[in-house]
Amino acid sequence: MSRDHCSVASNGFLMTVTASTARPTAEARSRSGPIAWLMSPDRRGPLLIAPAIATLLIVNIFPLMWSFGLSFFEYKANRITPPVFKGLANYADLFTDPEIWARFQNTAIIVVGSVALQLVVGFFLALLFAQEFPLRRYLLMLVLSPMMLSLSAVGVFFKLFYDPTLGFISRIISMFTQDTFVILSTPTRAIIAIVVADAWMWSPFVMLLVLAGLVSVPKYLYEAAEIDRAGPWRRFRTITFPYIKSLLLLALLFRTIETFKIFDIVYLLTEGGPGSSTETASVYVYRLAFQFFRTSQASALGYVMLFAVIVLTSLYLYGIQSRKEVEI
Amino acid sequence: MFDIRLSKLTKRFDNDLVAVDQVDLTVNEGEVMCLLGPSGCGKTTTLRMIAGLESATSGDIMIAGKRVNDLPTRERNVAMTFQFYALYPSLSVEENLAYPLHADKMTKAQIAERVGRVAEALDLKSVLQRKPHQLGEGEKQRVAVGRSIVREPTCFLFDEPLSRLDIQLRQTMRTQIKEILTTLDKPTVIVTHDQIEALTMADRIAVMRAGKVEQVATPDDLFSMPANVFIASFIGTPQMNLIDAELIGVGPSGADGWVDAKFRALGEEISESVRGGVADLPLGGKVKLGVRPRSFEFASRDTKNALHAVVDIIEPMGAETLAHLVESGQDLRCVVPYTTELSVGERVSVRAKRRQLHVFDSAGLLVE
Amino acid sequence: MARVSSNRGIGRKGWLYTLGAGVVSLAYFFPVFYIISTAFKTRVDALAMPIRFIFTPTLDNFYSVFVRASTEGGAGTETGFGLYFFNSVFIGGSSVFIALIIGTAAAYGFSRFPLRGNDTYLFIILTTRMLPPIIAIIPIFVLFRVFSLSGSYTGIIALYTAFNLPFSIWMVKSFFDDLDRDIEDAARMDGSSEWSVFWKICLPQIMAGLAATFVFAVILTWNEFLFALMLTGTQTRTVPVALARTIGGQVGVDWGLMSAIETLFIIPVVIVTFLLQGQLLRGVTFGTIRK
Repeated sequence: MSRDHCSVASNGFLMTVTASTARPTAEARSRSGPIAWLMSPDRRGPLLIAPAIATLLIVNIFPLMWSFGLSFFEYKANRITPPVFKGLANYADLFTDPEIWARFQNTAIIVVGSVALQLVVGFFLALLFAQEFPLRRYLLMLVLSPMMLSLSAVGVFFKLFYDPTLGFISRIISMFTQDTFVILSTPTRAIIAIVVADAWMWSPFVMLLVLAGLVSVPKYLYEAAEIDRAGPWRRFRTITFPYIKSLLLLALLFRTIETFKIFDIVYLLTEGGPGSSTETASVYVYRLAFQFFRTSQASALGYVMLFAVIVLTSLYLYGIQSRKEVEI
Repeated sequence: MFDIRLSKLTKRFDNDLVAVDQVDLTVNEGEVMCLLGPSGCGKTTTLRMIAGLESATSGDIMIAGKRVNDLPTRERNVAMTFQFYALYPSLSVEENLAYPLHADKMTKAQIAERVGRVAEALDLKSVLQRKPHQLGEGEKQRVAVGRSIVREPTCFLFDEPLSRLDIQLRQTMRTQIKEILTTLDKPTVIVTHDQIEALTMADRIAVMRAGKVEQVATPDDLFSMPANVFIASFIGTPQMNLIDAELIGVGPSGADGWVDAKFRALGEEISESVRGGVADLPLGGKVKLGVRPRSFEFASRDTKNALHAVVDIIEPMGAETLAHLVESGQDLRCVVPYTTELSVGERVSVRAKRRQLHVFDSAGLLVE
Repeated sequence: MARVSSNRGIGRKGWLYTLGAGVVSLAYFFPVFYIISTAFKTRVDALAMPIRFIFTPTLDNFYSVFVRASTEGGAGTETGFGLYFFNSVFIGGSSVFIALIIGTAAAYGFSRFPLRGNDTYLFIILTTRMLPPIIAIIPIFVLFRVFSLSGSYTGIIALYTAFNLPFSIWMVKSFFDDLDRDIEDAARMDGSSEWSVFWKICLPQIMAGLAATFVFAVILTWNEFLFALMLTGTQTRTVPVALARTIGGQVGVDWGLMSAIETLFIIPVVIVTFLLQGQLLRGVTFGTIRK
């Protein structure tokens, strides 16, 4: 939609003139002054967007900037002492602190484990629910139920489920291993417990995404493949998979980003234990900030995490873009 | 014997809708058969049953002498071009064309050779590496056709192949497809709702309505001897005129089977040479006279056996003019050369050209 | 994977799938079922191992959610959960409502008056949603203390509004993008003002989508834990936080009570999910799937 605008300043007012009519529009002519300036077509876009951007700036960006600044100082939120400038010292500390690496390692293990599990299980679930069978709709609802719980409820109740005496999961496992399953007895068990709980909650999400892709494949493509006598593996490879490839990628990135930030479940289930073996980066930041009050260090760590997330997010958006291009 | 035989083929859907009703049809080897009819007449369902994409409720489908009702699609070895082309979006044109050949266990070289030939024939060499979403409508259509002819199937099926093309492309493709079809010697079934497509491409046409086959004939026969009122109005543009009339007299039969009969229509008594079957009709009975718009010629007031009417609307069509005439509450459509002088409201006289008048009895059937 | 139409294997083959799907659904649903059923159990039944499936149901737990029985007998004291539920609804609802108003305006702006940096702005907006909440919490926590917003409604609502903005903007923008512009152009030619076009033509068409976005956003906000934990006080606490707090401090956890709380809390989400299955998918994929 290209029209040439020439702005003509006249009598101190701004009027927008369109080359096609060479006369001020009725609207612009009837109101003059700052209102006209605001309401002119050029300004409408920014005007509409302004409140949203402002809110985000104030509530999100500003604190972030401040926190970013904080990370260069030495500051403890529970002391009155003013912050002391330390330059990049906080960041340097981070990279040399073995604790940090351990936390990132924990996070990585949980992310890889949970996301892999989610993808695999979610994928097969989608294959299953792509078929038509009786009661499909109702069973689908049941599978989606985990996502409706609040994270705190999941954390709290799974703690019960893993309880050696009262929890049914522990009971079931001990039936197989002849041994009581105490979740917090070893780091491995703790991590597995977290991974299972997280994957349980979010694999239906992956299923939904993949299912949407499977369902959007036009039926006549499968018919054509039948006519062309293609075998089931071939059909999957050439027709189904391209449709869901980008969705799987979307699911992968989205869940990776989300799991990277994981806090609630870990905090409520194991509180980072035993010891600090399941303490993820998020939980550590929380501890640093609110238990040890090493505020600036927490900020620095938070920013490193933010950077990682931004990289992942860019990948995610790139994935969306390329999917939009192959608009079949 | 590579032919297709349908006997008493019926398809009833779950909601008791009978889409195809006891259809009998034979498509001979090398013949191009068009299934023609308005939407919902069951032509596409019939086609899909031949392909195996729909199951038959009852009746037999025989392809190349074998009963295929219980065979799944992949074992019938039929080729089909879909209305929406159904090109595999993630594969290139070349891969799309080669796709069906993998089931024939050919070597890579053989596949490449076949694909090359088809690409040449359909002028697709320049787009072989493109993906379907990068193709124009006409190119997509040619790839869809190409995918069918690259194989050696038992028969060829086309579902509304030209419906998505614009007029010009349609004309070009019609000719091209017709050319290709003549080189193939397998039975071909084309489904279409466009009579021009059917009339130009088919060896025989099966006109369908509400699940039944109304008439199977060559395009010429369909045009000159439509079996009933429905087919008469369906085939031929502008639509055939169907004039209410009363049979008031029948002369002696001539040696060639034609008789002179007298009718009362539009307030006039006219006498025309019609087919002999009129003699079997009751005198005084109601009939419909079928005259195609181009079968009328303008006459003068006192020409014998002329009908008189008032010019209502004049539609110039370029080299011809379509004139709508009105008389006694009935419409007449006449097509005349554009040089004819007409004015709205003028009272004119028209006469049917000799032996170009059809008679349909009270049941709507052609009197032969 | 061939879903060829009338050759559907409904019949024995179909039920095979149902069986498999049934087993899987059970695995997913069981914990949820556990929670809901425990809500109806007495204390003894709740903790019984192995799980007691047959029991006499009781509504005591639901009652206890709101009123704690007094140890001396007589009238019980209010637990505060009535307030907490109200808070969740009020805080969630208001923040989403405001976010929708601001967000719809912004979405309309992005959609109809695209600026040069449109994609960048949208990207930045999206990244705010992607942030680890944990890093935003520190400065926000301090900010809240500085401005005395800790424990107030204003603070948390403002925060949640900002949380819901990116999602609202993306969803609503996709709705606006899908509209048929011809109708608007026709209206403009008939002399409608821009405001009229927006209010009378665009808005009514996306009402259903707005409703879905509203509900979807409320669900996301409903379950939020971290920020609510840090920034709400005794008067403004939301249910997820209250739930986590209930677990501590008592001798032995009253699981029946906990289950009752969560069951009540889940009801709106269930209803909503059931009604809006289609729109949910669109939101989750940011509109890249077209049916």
